[in-house]
Amino acid sequence: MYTLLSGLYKYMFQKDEYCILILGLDNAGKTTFLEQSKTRFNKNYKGMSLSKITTTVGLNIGTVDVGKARLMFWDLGGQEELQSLWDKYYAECHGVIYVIDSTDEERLAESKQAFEKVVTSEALCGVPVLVLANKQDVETCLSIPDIKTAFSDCTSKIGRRDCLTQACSALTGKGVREGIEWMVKCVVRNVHRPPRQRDIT
Amino acid sequence: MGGFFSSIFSSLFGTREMRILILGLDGAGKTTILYRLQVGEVVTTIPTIGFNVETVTYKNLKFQVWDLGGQTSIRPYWRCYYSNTDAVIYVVDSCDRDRIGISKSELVAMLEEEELRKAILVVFANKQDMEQAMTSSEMANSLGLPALKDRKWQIFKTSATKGTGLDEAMEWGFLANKQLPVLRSGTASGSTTAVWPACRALPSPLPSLLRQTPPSHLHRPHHLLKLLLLPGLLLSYFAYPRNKVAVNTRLWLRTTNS
Repeated sequence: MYTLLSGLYKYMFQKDEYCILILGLDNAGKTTFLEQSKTRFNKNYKGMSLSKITTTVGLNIGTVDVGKARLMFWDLGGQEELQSLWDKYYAECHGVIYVIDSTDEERLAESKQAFEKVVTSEALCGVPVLVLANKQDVETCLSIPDIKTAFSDCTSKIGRRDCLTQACSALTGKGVREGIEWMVKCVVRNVHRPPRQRDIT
Repeated sequence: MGGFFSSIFSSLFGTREMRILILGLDGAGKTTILYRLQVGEVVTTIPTIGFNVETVTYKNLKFQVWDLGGQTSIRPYWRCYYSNTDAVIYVVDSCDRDRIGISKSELVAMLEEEELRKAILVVFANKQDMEQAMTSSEMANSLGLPALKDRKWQIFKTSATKGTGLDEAMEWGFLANKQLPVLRSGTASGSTTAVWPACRALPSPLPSLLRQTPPSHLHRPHHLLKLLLLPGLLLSYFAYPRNKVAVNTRLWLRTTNS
């Protein structure tokens, strides 16, 4: 009886769970973005101070509830040797957030290469991609058009999927909410990847 | 009432204590890491049969660190210590490619435990000072870490003898600890320690004056209590009329506990 009632309760109130990968080169601001979005969307979440975030060599996890959806973020380390771990997560993810450091012009080509690898991967076919031009609070940063031109040869490889380039600053929180709300809209709409199977029992 | 006030007091002024387990195969360097964290020196160790437990203070935060022996025969006893654990430090010898498979299976078995569901996982790729050491991505792949989807994990390249990488790891643990909602202060939970015969294989490397908390204090108070309990019960049983015994024992217990 208890199982029946709790199952019913879960059936009615459990949220659809979607997994979002946060990728990008090291020092692009992936973990900062994750922490910022956690503080924005979870009411009484006391985040760690953003200035103290260190290099990720592994996986950080964050859950965020937006409307009826629950997003589970997987924030992976971006160092070159750790990029080999990214593809292990492709099969199960519903969306990709690719973070670019707009202040680092020298590594833009490297970032582009990594981005190409992500979008051309078979396992990520049809998965929505949000490109975040991070660190827009720095005055000398590249603007969105600059980055779009630098990434122009990728556009043909993106294929049939939702893709948006969004200016943001993970440190101040500008653009974070817009980006995530767009992401939610896309993953909910994407019928090829249904939300994680929920266990009702 | 006293307990109530003391809990308020400790939540205001006390420091949170994080319970950390250091696990890994034998010879990975667990005990060396523990004492490197605590006293900042390399101590000569012998294989641990049983456990070592120390309180490590880092930036006003107390970590209660348990280092359990890693030999095949005593690995089954790890599970006795799993409850209330906030973080698991899994130490792997980066040069020992032959036994990485065993290391992986032990890790997988450990992470399946319900009691460790909320614990964060920190992998120390130890002995990085050696030449043929594995890199962190190699380590992650051979331990099967990418298969973990619901748990926060992090790899640190460490060298316990050189002392590299430990500070970063503590810093990260310190940040992660800030998000723990539970306030814990005071003594260790005694129940788990009783399972293992409380023998410490490692003689204390330093005079006890230097330690912040002598480890024996951490797991002895309940033994002491038991010793007091028996004569106390006997005394109350004979000294009072039958119907009062229960009430008085309860009262007495309450006063001793608080």
